[in-house]
Amino acid sequence: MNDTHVTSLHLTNFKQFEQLKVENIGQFNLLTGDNNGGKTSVLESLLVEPQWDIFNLKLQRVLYQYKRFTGVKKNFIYQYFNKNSEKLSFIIGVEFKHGQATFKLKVEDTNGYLKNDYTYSADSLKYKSQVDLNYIPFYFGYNHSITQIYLDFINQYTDKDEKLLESVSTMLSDIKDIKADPDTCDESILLIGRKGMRKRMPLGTFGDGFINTFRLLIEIVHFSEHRIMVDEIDSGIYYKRMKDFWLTVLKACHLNKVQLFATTHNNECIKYYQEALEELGKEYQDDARIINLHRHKDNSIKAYTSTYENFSSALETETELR
Amino acid sequence: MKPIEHFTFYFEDKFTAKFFKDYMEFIFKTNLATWGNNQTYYITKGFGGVKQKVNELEKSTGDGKQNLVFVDADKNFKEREDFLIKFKAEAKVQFDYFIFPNAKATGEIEDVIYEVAIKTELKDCFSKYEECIKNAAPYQPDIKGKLYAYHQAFVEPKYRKNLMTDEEREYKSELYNLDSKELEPLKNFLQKHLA
Repeated sequence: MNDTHVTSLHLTNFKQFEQLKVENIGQFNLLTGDNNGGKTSVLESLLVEPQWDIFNLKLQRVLYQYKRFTGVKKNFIYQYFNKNSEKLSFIIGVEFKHGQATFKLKVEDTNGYLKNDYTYSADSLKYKSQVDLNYIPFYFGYNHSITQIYLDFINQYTDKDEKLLESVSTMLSDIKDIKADPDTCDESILLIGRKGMRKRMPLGTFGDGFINTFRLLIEIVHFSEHRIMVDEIDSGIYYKRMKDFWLTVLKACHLNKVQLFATTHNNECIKYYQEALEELGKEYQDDARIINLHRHKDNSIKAYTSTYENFSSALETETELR
Repeated sequence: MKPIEHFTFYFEDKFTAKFFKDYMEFIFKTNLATWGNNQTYYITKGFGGVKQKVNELEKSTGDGKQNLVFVDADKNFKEREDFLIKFKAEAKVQFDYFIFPNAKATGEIEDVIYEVAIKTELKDCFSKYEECIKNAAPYQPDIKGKLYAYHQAFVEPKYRKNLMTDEEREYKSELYNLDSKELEPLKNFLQKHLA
């Protein structure tokens, strides 16, 4: 965990949460829980940034994706925030290793744009804002604009290129280089060079699991020392590849000091997450959590955080973690 | 009897969970067909495993359910009770507990089950066998081994699998006196909560 990693999250009136406290957050966090239980909302709340312009930019992009996905045209901002009122306000409280911050926002829908009354207060906080959208929503999938993201995030930077190669090498040990080919059809494609092979192969020939993981690795390298949020992280990953997938992702997050928040519904995803951590050892295990969002009978939602020891024991005793 | 869904049970192992199910059905004359569904109970794998169930205890309380924890006293009843009291206070969780064999003595659940096993002739054979092997073998069979052998002796070989699992063992009144006074502390505990 580093200084910019979130250690606890407190939401007030954010989307379906009246109050939600998520405590004891680690560097690697797998969120579980029932459908409509708030997992995605927790990911979205973590888009919060001290500067309104940056937070607004991210919210607008998420709202745009939401609008496209749902087809909702009228009052979509209120629908997105799960509120009926003409004005809405919410608070996102975030604690870090050395400091805390509270973000208060009142929102008005002015023809689909957010008009804000944004206040931010922080206590001894060293915070690095991240302009790009550090969130992969489920409904967009991993494959969306992979080449563009590579070109935007990695291509120009030699250090990021090296880190991406290092991370990809955990699943493709003979990888030599990655090149964007701008001349192919109307959209450029990525080419993967391998040691001992003269011709580079298009990324598309490597299979969905590899491509999905590759997409995620680009994000991890780009959001170095920050955090990324991934909805339904296991989608498109064959179960027999799941452990290798987790080994690659966790190693990349560790190498790039990235805090990971991911959701799943899948028991196998949880099982292989634990198995990968078992293989990676104590340094990784100490920073791993499973956060279960449980809806109680009174309809309130509460977050239950399990440490590696807790969830390993739960898996061993066939306790439901989803 | 209150619906079983009002409770969450915690057992050290599947052996205890199965005996408990059969005993509950006997005492309350009810069919617990849904036993084990929707996490009616959790296995803690030893008494210390209850410490790993803080989230489950809290969730259950939050859902308005009552937690009942069952552990063995083993070699020191007081030590086991102190462990549970300390854990409850430190973790700030709510539960009531029953310590086998009878909420006061040392020992384990197998002790009380063997005690209420009614085929005394067979139990005498075990006693003689134990006496006989004293000088021939370095170790005596443990209570679990005796109990398994007792049970197995009344299962027709054609119904036997290679190794009977804990879930397959039926605690029927032909073999066990589930109304015995030895089980009264457990009965009283359950009636206090469930009846």
